[in-house]
Amino acid sequence: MNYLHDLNIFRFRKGYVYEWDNLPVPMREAKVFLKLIEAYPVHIEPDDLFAGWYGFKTEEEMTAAYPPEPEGALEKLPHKQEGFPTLPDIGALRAHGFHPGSYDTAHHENDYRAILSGGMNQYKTRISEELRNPENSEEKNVFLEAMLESLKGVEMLSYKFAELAKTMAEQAEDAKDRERLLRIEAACRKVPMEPPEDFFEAVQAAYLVRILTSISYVCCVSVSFGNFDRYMYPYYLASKEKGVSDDEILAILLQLYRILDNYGGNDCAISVGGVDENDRDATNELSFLMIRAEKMSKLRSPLFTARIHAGTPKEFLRELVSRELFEIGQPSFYSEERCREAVASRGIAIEEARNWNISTCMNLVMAGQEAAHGWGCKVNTHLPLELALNGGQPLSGTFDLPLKTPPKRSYADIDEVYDQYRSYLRELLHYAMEWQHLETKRMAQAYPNPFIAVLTEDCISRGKDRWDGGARYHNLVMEMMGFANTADAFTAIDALVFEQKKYTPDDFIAAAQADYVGYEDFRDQLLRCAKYGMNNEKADGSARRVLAIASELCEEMRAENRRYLPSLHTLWDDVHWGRGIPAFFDGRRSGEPVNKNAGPATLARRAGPTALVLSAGRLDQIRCSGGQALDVHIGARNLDTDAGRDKIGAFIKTYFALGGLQIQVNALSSETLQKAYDHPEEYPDLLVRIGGHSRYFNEFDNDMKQKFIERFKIEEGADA
Amino acid sequence: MADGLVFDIQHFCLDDGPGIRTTVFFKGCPLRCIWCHNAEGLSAEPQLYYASEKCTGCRKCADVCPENVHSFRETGHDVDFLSCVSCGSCADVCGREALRIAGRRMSAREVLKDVLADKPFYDQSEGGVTLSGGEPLMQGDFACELAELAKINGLHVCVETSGYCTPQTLRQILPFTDLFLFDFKHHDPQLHRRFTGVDNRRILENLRFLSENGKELILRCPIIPGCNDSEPHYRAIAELSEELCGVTAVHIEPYHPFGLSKYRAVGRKAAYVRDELLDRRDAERIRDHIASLTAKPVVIS
Repeated sequence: MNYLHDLNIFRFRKGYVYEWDNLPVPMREAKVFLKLIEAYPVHIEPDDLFAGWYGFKTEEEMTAAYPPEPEGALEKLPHKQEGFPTLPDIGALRAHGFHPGSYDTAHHENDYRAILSGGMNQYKTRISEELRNPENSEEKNVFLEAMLESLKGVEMLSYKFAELAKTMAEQAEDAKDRERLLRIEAACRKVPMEPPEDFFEAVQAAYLVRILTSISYVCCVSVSFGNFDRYMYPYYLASKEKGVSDDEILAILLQLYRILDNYGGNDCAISVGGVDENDRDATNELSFLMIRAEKMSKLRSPLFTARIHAGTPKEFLRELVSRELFEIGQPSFYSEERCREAVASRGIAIEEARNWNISTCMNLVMAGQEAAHGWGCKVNTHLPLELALNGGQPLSGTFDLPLKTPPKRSYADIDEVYDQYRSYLRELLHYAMEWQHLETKRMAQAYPNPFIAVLTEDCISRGKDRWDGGARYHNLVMEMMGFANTADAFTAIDALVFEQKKYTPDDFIAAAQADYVGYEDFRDQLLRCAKYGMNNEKADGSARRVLAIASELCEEMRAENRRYLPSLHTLWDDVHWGRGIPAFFDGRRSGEPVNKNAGPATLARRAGPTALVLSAGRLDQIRCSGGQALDVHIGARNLDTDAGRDKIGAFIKTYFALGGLQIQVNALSSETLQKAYDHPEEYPDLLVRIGGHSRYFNEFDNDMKQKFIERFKIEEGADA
Repeated sequence: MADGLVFDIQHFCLDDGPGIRTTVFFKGCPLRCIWCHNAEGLSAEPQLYYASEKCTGCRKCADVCPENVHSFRETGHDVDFLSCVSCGSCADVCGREALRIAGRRMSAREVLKDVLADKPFYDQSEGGVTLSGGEPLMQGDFACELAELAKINGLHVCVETSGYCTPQTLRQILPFTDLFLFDFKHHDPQLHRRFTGVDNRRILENLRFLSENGKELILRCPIIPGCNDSEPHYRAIAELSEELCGVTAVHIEPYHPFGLSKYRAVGRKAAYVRDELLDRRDAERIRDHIASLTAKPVVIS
């Protein structure tokens, strides 16, 4: 089933805003939230073990449910009104691939442990108590009232499901079916307002809260599901106590994955493993059942994530290091220890930081305590080096914002270039962060989310939206685009300008501006320079330094509860973003991809997965707490034996021991090989194993590549 | 402390012994197995290696070569390997690394430094270093020095060998080796000579010697259609594995043609030209068959 939902909420909302024009803004938003819950049809499918489907069956049904949109609706939206704070013009940044991001309505990570243990009623009580505080400002009380109002949505939704289940039960002919529906009805009349008492009720409760979170976002992306095997374990045990079998638990998990795959987009993370509050391994029976369900469902969503620590049991890792999972890009591995240290580097006590969670594809967040701007700001790391070498001008076009850094054209050594780079980066970041702060604040004031505020620590005591200073922590991810290319450019400049004295900065500028046409020899020399990702201390040193500068500047710019978290996250944007970026000093031509995530630039000669891991391990990833994955390809054949799986498990653990936060291991299949055949530029590091020898796939001629693909197909056929 | 000749050092090798390993490929081999997939490992001298798919036709190589090895015609880049003295001038100017010299003289300490870069992986996975080739024991002193240094540094050491070496070399390396990956190419002495250029008597003596000295051994058995894919050979593999207590496993290595391009790259003609892989299902049948004749584990490598 595929119900229409998601962005259509936004289309709805335009009409609703006017109905409460006379209300204070937070209360208006609470009313819109309730109206959306009311408008959404809910469904229970024939085999559903818990309730959770919502949305419209057809476009027509959806259109019919729209409220009539008042004339000129769009213009009447709050942020279009006169007097709404305007933003500084930063078109110059955007023109150069430096995107300060937008207002992030999503990325809230619920603290399901707290929600389940006290039920949603606990928040009602807390808000009511806070309202009695005589020292409250009027503004605060208005916000608290709106939070209380939004809580009405919880029972509105759960009762909708309960009523539907009741009606369906009355019509059910089969006794078992009736029993199933009555069980759903009973649960939905109880949770999530009351705490659940077993696994089924807990899943029902958590899922209902997840729906409410999505609806409140006004967009349905980026709602993760947290450390599921840990917060659900007490309820699992309670069910086992009642005689519920693992097969029944498994059936619930399978439905959960199906439903998350439908509504989770490609960015709903769910995690297994990690440690408990006493630092003991937290792997439990539910963790293994979750992996089993993932292997059975074979869905790419939810994002299955595994928290690995030094004491992770071998058998658990063996289950995760699996051909079935790797071939669908699951799971993503996170280091328990390193991620905790990264979160602590934001100024959170290490004891508290152990409660970090994985949100979407790489965010490390404190569940229920944080306003997490996961969409973040895209930082063009090339631009400050362009400005540094080219006397304050970019390599293409102009930069139309005032810069205070005095331009330079000659340098005595590479340290001076780094200093100039730092100075420009500071100015560029300042522009971006100031814009981002103003944008977030004004949007938070125009469109606050009182429901998410209920679920975010400190918003109740402060009576504020999470983005408006309400949340305990407020973090913005700063994506350092092309950091490896920038590092490689520094390495090349140091080698060719200052050590070998063969070229000047002007030669670099002329060659890059010509897109290396007529400068092929020069480019060959650039390509021969050491590069990040080859386990070369010098090249890795440049990468470390480039990242350290970014980290220092981000730390320097923190203000109030806001922190800026450097990240090497690019997802697939390394290709798309690269298309709009001119040639660069590392030999990269105009429009070519930049490096992906924490990986090397595509021009870097591949030196194998261990070299890559050693290089990435040299980066100070702890300070780069916005999160980043390292992508590694291995042959799927290595996953066919326990010994092979143990080796890959050891490989992952080594990366974490060296300081890595996250690693994604992809297994080679004929499908991947075919893609690599069709687009060799996107798979420069694809390693294949042939008769005791590893070679890069791109080193074969096309005839051999085809043969190789045929062999894989035969092997896959044999495995089937 | 003689230098050795090495044509490759490969990291993250998962099939050359326990754990994550680095494999050092020694250049030079006394055998001439017609199916050899490491053509650049045969000669005991450095040699030019030309990867034609990387050549952009820039002709810089032709400009610098003192022996006029490189010429460019309508058909493309011609390399006169016979005239090449392996001076490396062309490799130095080749911007795309289409040309390189296969074979580098290195001291054991230099090799060890490269190998030790991956120590964190060996520690985590109980892996180590594998000496392979070519034939590592053809450079006996160098191999022993490297193995000894590796042991001193706490590494697990594997030697992958054809077994064609002097008993002295074997005795010398014995204390520094944890596991031998020992080739068994043909049971029949005459056919062994025909397909590999040497008799198998010495090889089998060395194999027994290692087993009698309590060394752990894995038999590595290439399966080459038309050469050794026969029932008597399968039986011989099984019998040998049963007879020798040191043998802990049998690895079946099905033929593949992916080494053929390497012959072109070093200007040699391949003696065994077969484009097709040994079918995976056939390989599994052979594995199962041998496994039915021995109690030792038999796996496809």
